[in-house]
Amino acid sequence: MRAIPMFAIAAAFSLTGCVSMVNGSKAGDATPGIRYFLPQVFLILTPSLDGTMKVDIEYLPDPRHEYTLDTSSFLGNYTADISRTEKGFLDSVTLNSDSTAVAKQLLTSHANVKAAEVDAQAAKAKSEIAEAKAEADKQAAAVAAAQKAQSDAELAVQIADAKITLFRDMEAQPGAPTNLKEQIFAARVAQAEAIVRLNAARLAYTSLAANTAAANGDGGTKQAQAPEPVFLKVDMQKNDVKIVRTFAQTSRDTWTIPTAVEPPPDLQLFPAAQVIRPEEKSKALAPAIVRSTVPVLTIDLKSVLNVGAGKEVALVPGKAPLTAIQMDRTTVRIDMPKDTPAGEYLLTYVLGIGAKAKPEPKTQVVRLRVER
Amino acid sequence: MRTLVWAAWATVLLGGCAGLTSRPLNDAANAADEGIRYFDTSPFLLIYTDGKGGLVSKLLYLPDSTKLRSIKPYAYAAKNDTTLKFDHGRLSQAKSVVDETAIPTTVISGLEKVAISRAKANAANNGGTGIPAPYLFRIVSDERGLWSLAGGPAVGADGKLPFTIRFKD
Repeated sequence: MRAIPMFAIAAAFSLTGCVSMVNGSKAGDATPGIRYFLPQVFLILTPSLDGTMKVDIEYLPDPRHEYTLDTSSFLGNYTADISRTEKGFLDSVTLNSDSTAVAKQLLTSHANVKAAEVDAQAAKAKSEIAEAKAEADKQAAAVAAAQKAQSDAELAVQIADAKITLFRDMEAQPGAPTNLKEQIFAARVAQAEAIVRLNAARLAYTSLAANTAAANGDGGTKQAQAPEPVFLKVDMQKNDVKIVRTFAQTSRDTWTIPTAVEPPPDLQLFPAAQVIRPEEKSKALAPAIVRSTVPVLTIDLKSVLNVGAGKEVALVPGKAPLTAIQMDRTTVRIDMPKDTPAGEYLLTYVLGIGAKAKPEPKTQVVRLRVER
Repeated sequence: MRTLVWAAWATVLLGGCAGLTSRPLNDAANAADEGIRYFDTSPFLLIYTDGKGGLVSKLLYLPDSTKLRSIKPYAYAAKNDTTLKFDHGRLSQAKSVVDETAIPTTVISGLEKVAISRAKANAANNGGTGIPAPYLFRIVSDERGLWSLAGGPAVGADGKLPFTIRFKD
């Protein structure tokens, strides 16, 4: 009589299928089964040089929560598919009685997912390269445009200078056009406009080139250091939470991919030679205007050489040339003394450029020809 | 004849025996449990500087390590086609068995204001030496349905308050 129920239960199993179990347990050294972890949450703070901060949530495997999974089946076909992420977290657990179809589908799905992942990674890498190239091209185009604007402005100034010199020379010639004065005035207006444009173009180019060089870490030839990201462990407690820094923030080497960008221009005063004559009304010598390729912080006249006489002119206060840096920091005005004899003069200057706190001294020579 | 009746009864009794069980675990239960472990989610509020003098707040549902649970699919003489999906230790597909607390929007808005005012009060003492560390608050609801915040700014490894993040050398 007792055998009947046992037989009946066995019959029931055989009629309807199986006993299937998923067995999980805390992982020990010898625990069988597929291992997986539960996560420990971290906040990763990545600072940028501009003072902004990127905040990311990161999940890392928590060794205190390592478990195993095992499946067992009795009297039946069952498929168990356990997939994990690359970090060791459980992704999915699937139990299905239709083993063949499910296995096939899971295999296909898994392959599709892997293929999609590979495609996505390749697309991402391609996109990053394209972005980097586009950024480099953009920088190069901006610098080239600024350079062209500067060249055009320089040409305009040279044309205006040449016109004025020509008109001045024509003034002394017999049979000069009657409207020469108007033409000189128009040429001076054009010269002033060209100078303003040149100064603006030069400043734009200088700052753009300097910014690009700074952004590119000195063309990639010099390594720099930057503070590393900060890891904050999210320490969960009952009805509370703490975020705790896991280690002290240190600095690590970094660098920037070099890009084909020209370095900022060297210091140069131009025109390096010019002619000055007395003004019509005041009879004072017209000021000489020279421009610098980089912003000038200080300027110091060191010597004046009278080329014709072959000797230096004594720099007596009130008798020496007056030199002043204009507001734009790239224009320098030189006023020669009213009674300066005609002839050629070499003015040697020491200019301070670079950092405001500690200007770098650079020597430059300006040649002036005084005509009377 | 009697045997067939017993077999039929056994089949009926065993035929419906398939499904999922889920239960919370403490340390003792965790050691002996045979299910698949996962963390329940809990709501948190993350506050950090936007670098423009303001603050950014984000509502996060994080896997809560204080809420360890176990889920176990079983099938005794029955079919049980089950798929459990997980996301960073959280059970994501069987949402019906996850005790994910829904927080009213107005409550979130109110809590954000409280958290931001706390963060601003502390930011005033920063001294401008670096980027202020973020704040993380747990959003807690008591038995009476009152919402509150627990937590605060990030602390150093020594547990001292607070520190700043260097952004350049």
